[in-house]
Amino acid sequence: MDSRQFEYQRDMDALRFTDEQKRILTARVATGAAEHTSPTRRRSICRMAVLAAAVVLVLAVGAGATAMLKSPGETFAPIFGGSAAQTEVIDKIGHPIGASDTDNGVTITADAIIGDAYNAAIVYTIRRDDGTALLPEGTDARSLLMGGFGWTDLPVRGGSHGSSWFMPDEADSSAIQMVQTITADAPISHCTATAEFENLCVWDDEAGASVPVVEGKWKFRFDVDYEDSSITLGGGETFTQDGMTFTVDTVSVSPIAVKVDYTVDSQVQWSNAPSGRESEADSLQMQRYFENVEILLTKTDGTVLNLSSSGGSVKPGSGITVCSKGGVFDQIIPLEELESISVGGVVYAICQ
Amino acid sequence: MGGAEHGPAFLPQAMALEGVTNLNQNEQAQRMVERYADTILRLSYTYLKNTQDAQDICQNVLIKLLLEERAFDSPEHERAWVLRVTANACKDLLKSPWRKRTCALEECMEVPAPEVEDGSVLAAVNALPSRYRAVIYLYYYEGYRAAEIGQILGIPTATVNTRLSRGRAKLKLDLGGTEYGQQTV
Repeated sequence: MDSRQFEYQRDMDALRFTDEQKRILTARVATGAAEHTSPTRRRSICRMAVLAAAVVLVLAVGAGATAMLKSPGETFAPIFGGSAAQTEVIDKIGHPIGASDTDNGVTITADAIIGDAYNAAIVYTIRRDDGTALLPEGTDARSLLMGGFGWTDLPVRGGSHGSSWFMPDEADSSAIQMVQTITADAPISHCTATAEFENLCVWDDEAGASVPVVEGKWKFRFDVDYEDSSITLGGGETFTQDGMTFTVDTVSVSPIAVKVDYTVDSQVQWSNAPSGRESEADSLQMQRYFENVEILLTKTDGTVLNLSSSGGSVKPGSGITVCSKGGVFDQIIPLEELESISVGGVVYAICQ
Repeated sequence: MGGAEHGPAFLPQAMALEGVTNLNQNEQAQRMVERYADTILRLSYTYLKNTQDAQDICQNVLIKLLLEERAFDSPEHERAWVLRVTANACKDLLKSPWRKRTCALEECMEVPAPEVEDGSVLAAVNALPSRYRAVIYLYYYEGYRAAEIGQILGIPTATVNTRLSRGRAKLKLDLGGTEYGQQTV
């Protein structure tokens, strides 16, 4: 056998779970499967209490009330954490929306938004108006894709990136929630957003394509307006790696996101690969200028969040490259719980 | 292939094939983890080049396998399905506009990433585009032939051969001209 091939196999052989890790993984897999197949997943008492209170209040308002704005806390706590500290942050910077559009018997409503200067998370509810099940039986929410533009457009200069995912409501099959997170190059905390969706689809492994499961077109606008609670750190610190010098221009940290702007002292050279295809050379460039830049967020309890694989932008300039990297957290993190952030080894204390 | 784990043992998803009918979900999960966890981890690492995301993919693929209702024709069929789902999950993650991972250290059961030393084969493979890395892994580690890799990844056999050829050429260049297992595909 070729010695190089043997070396590769040896290295890959070494990549394996320990027996203890397999035991933990087994428990997680079994639990995950059980949760997925359970027809009525247990909900937290707090969440049930909130829902019950909301129902009572709607009944009290009367038959004429067909819609009711949820509080930001009610909307976001099940998604981004509902501890007392987290709820306090949500109530401070969250903003209810309530804008919606209906097509083909299905209404999509923007429930609430939370964010900072450059980042936002928006929760939408997709509901079949006649109360019947929104999705075909057995549809895996994790395989859902929003078709059409499928995105919330913000009228800001520059680019934006983000992600979206779906959360089924185990107690109400007629509705599902969609969470979208957005990180933009320009401030977004005060503007008008346009939500435009077409067909809720599911990925078909066999067909290798997305297939509509809820057809319709929805488009509506709403105001983006919330308090920016981010703090700004950094300015001119440098670090070197991959033979280049990186200057940290700005580090922005808020309870929901991180954004790091930096400048590299050489200009990235993109190849002329066809649109939609990343050449090998471009992939290496992306690693050197962007992916290899380490961002670590340390909490006061010692927990370290590795944000190095966040998205962003890479813009070549005259002899330099300007980059922006960051994204929205999985959970609300009060600034008081953040100790420091490290960018390429440069550590910034987060002082409150 | 030394690293491949094509053994006779089979997994609960095709219980009918083995006559295993009384396994509870924990036992099924345990058998699937024993059978596929390391394989999924390695293929995911090949795509993603980090063990954290690879571990997430591993858990999700195993849950999907546990929930899969179809009866697989054979152990090989099931294994190919696992690899295809893993590859698709990794490609979805790579296509995502941005990726993130947050995890409290004490909650993590981190699998250490391999030591990737400069000049090593693994470093050279990791420097390849992901589409080359995947076929290199499936061919040289898992021991699949080009046609089988094509079925797993959903691409023509000719494309697999092209990627293998270009991947080898790049590895040869990066590794200082050392031949890298030029087998018949």
